[in-house]
Amino acid sequence: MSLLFSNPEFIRNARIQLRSRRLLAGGVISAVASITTWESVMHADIDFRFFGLRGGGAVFALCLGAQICIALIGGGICCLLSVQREKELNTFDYQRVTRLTSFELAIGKLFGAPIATYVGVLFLMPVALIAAAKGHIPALLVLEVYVLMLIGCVTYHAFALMISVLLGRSGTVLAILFFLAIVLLSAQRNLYIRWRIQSLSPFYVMDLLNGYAYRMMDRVGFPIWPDGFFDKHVAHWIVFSLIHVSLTTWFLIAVRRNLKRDPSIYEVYSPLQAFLFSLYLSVLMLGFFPWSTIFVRGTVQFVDVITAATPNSIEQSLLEAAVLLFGALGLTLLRSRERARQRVRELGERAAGWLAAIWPTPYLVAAVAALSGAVILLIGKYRDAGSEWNLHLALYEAVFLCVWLSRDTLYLQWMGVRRGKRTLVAAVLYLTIFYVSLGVLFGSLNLFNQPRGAAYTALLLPMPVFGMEPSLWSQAPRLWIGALFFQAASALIFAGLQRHRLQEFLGRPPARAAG
Amino acid sequence: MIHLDNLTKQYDLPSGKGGTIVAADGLTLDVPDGEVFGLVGPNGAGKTTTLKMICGLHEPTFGTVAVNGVDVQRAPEEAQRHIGYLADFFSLYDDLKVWEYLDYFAHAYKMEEAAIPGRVNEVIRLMNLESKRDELITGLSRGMKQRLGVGRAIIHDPPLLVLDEPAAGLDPKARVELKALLKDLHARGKTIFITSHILADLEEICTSIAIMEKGHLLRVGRLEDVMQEGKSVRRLRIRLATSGFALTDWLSARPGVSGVAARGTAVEFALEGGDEHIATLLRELIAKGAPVCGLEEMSESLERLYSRISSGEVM
Repeated sequence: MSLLFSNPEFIRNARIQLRSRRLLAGGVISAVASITTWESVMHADIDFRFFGLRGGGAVFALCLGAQICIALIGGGICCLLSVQREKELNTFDYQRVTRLTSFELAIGKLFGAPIATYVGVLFLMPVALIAAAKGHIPALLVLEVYVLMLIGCVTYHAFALMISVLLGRSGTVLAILFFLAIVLLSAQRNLYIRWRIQSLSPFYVMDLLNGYAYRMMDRVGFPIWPDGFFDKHVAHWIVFSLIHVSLTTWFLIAVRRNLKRDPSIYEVYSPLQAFLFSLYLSVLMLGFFPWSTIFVRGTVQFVDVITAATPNSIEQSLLEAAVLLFGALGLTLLRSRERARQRVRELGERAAGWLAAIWPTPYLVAAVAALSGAVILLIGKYRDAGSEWNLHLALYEAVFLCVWLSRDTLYLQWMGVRRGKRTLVAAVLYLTIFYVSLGVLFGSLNLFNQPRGAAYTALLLPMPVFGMEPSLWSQAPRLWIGALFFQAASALIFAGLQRHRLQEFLGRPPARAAG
Repeated sequence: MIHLDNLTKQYDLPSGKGGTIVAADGLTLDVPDGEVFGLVGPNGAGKTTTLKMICGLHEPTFGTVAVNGVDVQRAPEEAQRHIGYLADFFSLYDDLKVWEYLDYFAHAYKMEEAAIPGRVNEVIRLMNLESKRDELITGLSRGMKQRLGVGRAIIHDPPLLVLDEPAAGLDPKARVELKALLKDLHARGKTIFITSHILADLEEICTSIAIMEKGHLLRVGRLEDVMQEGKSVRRLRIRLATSGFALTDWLSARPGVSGVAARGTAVEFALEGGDEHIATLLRELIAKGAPVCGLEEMSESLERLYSRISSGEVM
């Protein structure tokens, strides 16, 4: 606590945002909103319900919803602007040259930037608590929803702060839209339906209220199934708290790593940190997978989308989910041109050789191997003894994922060390155009539905591999293996191109200025 | 106080516009304690980049920077303890009060808690901002804000001040105040590393200067040495008590004299050689009966010297 309340950055934010006039204005607005809500709900002519609650309970639910919006969205945007705005105003360099450590600065901004929104939440507390008492909401439930809401919001704030650090002086609007999209997407129940985990969004606390309301009426409300980690039941509040605290820690590690650095050599994580983060997410993904029920047709509640799954379809489904994870890992590990040049300066020839040119493939290979190995082991453990499973196909798909991700990451890395402005953004754009164009072309030629045609498309695209039936594999195994080697050869070409670029850094800078 | 060793910073030009731009090219420089060191150069010369590398805000492509013996890249936070920095396009937290602003930075520099209120008041007094102590920064004039910026830079009493164009955008009165403040800080033993476009100001306060262009240092040294450098030809002015003597003709006929121009009873001219040449010329002139009543050497301004160096007139 003393780290927070004696933190100069926190105090600075508090002084700016909590001037008495602003507090007075906020208090008056909250009081008016509270009285209006109370009066209109408590004396409504109709049977007003909100999340299954009526009367005081409905007012409480309304207040809670407003408090989540204020803290989560308002606070998130404040965090998103905190560093970016300082860069824009040219005050950030002054903070960088002080003796505040990156961690102190990060904590000060994490809790200081959204402090006005926390006070806004506090202003609504009187009416919320009175309404909860009037609506006979158990005190323990009230405590639980507020604690979970706070923990959840802090994670989103840390995420927003991380984006703010990595942003330049522009791109604010896009970043806000991205943050809002993440907030909305993470609140979608469909996101969690494949896993034995309930929502991780702070809006989940509204489900808790809803569940309470329906229990009071002896009715079934929104489906709530218990969380299961490797088939062990775990209370959701524990899962929610642990995941959010750990994610906050991961985001803060990234903030701490970069906050006082020269922006030209930003690196979200060190390679080891990025690798461990991807392993952590892999463990969550596999741990909350409904292993014991997924293979049993017709008995799986709430996971109807993948009931009657086969071992191969499960493996493909998990590898598909991992694409996003390892794609993010690859992007995180990419070295900027300035960083690559700095390494060459520090390490000499070693940082411009073949080992450097295949960067970041070793970490990707290790991460994909770890996940694929775990998936294969778990399928072997949980599958029905009689179910058909082609282990060779499973291994092929894992290797293909690895090679394909390496190819694209090496391409991006090569583009990233090329001279020019926003070369990485251009590279991502070209890659998107490449996939969309080929997808449309191959689709219009109906190649995906022909056994040999699908194998040919795998020369360039990964999609046919991750939807492949064992029968498709057995019709053209040589073609599929050829596609794999072609992908590997493409990856090597990009490694060679990257090496060529790195070799350019070995020379001394030109003797005279060029500009 | 500052030691630059082969300091280099390269930037990439966008593809299609050619190779790289070298904002600082192998700069090697020593700034001793107690100096007021001025860095002069046109926009894009690499002055701000050099300053930012000294402060640890930019990573050099090659080379090292040490401040007070501390390697800035290896131990940035330790080095920054010795540095007070003011950026060119500076901005303050407009919603803070003057004392709150200084208090924030005093805490951020981890000064002794008990010493902070006293130091904040001392700096406010030094910056002549006592009447504005409890006012929001947004209400201050540009000159006051600049003084507060300098106050922030010295709040932790660093031995080195790095100031990037501190006089930019200030009115003449504020410029005079700023100059007085910098002289005062120099008298208190601070080393000041400063860039400015206003060369007359630099000439007045600097003890040493460097002239920088396209990433290179064209001249470095004590101000008087740099001003004297390249002066194989000295400009002199002789005044006569009466106008009867044909001084212009007499001077024009002498070897080593050029650029003779009459200005009333005075004549200005350039003379090659040292003091002994002046003495000989004066002796012969008096022997010829010229009513000499004054001889003075005309000084060259930093501005003139800078333009001669940057145009290649002086190599």
